[in-house]
Amino acid sequence: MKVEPILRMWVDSPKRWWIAIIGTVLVALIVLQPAVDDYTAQAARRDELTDSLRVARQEVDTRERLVVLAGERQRELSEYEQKAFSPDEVQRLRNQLVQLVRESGCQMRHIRVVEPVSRPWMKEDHPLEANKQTDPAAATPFELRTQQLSLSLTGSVAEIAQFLRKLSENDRLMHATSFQLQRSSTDGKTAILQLELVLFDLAKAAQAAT
Amino acid sequence: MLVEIDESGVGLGISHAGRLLLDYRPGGGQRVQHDAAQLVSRQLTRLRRFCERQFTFVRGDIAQVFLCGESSEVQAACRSLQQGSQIAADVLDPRQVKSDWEFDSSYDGDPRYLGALGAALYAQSEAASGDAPDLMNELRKQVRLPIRPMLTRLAAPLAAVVALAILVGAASAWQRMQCSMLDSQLASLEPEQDAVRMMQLEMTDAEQKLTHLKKIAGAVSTPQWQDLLVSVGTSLPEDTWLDTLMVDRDGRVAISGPSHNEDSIYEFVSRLKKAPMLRDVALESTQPISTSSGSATKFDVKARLVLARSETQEENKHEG
Repeated sequence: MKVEPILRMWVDSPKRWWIAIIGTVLVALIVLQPAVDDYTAQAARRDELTDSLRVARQEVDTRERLVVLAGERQRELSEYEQKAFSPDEVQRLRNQLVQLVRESGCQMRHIRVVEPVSRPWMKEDHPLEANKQTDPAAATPFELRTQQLSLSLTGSVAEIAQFLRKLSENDRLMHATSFQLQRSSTDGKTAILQLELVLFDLAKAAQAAT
Repeated sequence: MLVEIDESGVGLGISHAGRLLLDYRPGGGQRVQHDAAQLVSRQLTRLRRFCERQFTFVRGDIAQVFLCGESSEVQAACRSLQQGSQIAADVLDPRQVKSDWEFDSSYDGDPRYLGALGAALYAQSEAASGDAPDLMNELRKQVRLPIRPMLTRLAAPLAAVVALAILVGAASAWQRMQCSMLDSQLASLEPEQDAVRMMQLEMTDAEQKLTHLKKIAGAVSTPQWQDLLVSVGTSLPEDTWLDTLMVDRDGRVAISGPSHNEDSIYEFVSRLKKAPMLRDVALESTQPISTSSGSATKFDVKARLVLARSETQEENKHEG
């Protein structure tokens, strides 16, 4: 098919300018507009990627500082976690108390640890109060685990004082709920000490942990 | 020169190189038909001048007259022209020209006829194609305006749009290439980014847990029982003994015991009031009792333990 006769027909046509204008508009719509759309989309994507890259570099640049900071925070957390009473720690404390009683010259009458009780730990909460908050927004991913320990021992007041001094050196998450010192009825020189402690632990709530 | 003599008059034409340069019919109608030779002679000078002025691209002169038309008039005019002018004149009857004529290289006839015969043959072939022969076709084809300049003007906007589309396409391809580069850079940073994010998450978790553990640690306390014990013990006067010392979970302190001297009880209470670990010290009751060492007075003292700061604040809050 020869092109020249068609071109000649176009050139000779009295509506040649209209044909040129319509052709131009059609080409602009079919070719130019999609090309401009594509360019705009690519330019927008490039801007977005540039921003993402800048943010990513900033994030990566903070890594060293973050490592130091995370280390410090982890160390501080470990110190506090060591003060809390996990089930293993409760057992360890029990053994430690038996040892303290012995070292102080006292005699252990009994030591009893009851089953732990857990409750959700809220944002504005107090470990010695019952939780009255039900708002899920106030919840934290943790639960407060409390375990009661009661202890009874006999000894001279000086020996009991020594035991109490050693116990107070134990800077842990425990709270004394009851203290009772009574003169022994059998022997006027010895006393009986009954002590009740509540031991605390903060653990990930089962739901949050999953 | 072509001369056609028919019933309506005389038609003149000037042909050059197979092209009809002009077609001219002088006035006079049938009247000039009988004196065609004189008409040609009269018009010849004028036609030469016209051709020189109008057809500058033609080199040469009018050298040959071909006559056609009604045979009697044509023959007479031919003779008159042959005799009366210096221009060659011949009769050419187009009806006798056959479309299947062919001239080979051995043709040795008068070459003056070749052009005219060729033109007549061409005209016949045009006529045989259907429409009436249009002698102007060839001329029109020759003088037709060149297509390129107009085409250039017409196609300029279209070409501009296409060029713009190509430019935009190229820019788009460049942007795509840049995006691809950025993508790969981002991909290379992704593992480090993941590690940082993981670390941030761990740190947030740690900070959260630490905050709550600190809160618990601030709220709970184990009082310095030994200090309380020493404080109460050193406050006891000589003739006063301690039977029980109790502290409940709310910090209420109850102290009881016997004394041989009632004044010693007041002395004991007075000393307790000065003890830093106790506040609100009050003698609740006294009661006479008998002991193995004789009669005595049993006392009950109540007080409040000064608790850790956070706990005291909590207590005040509750009381308020």
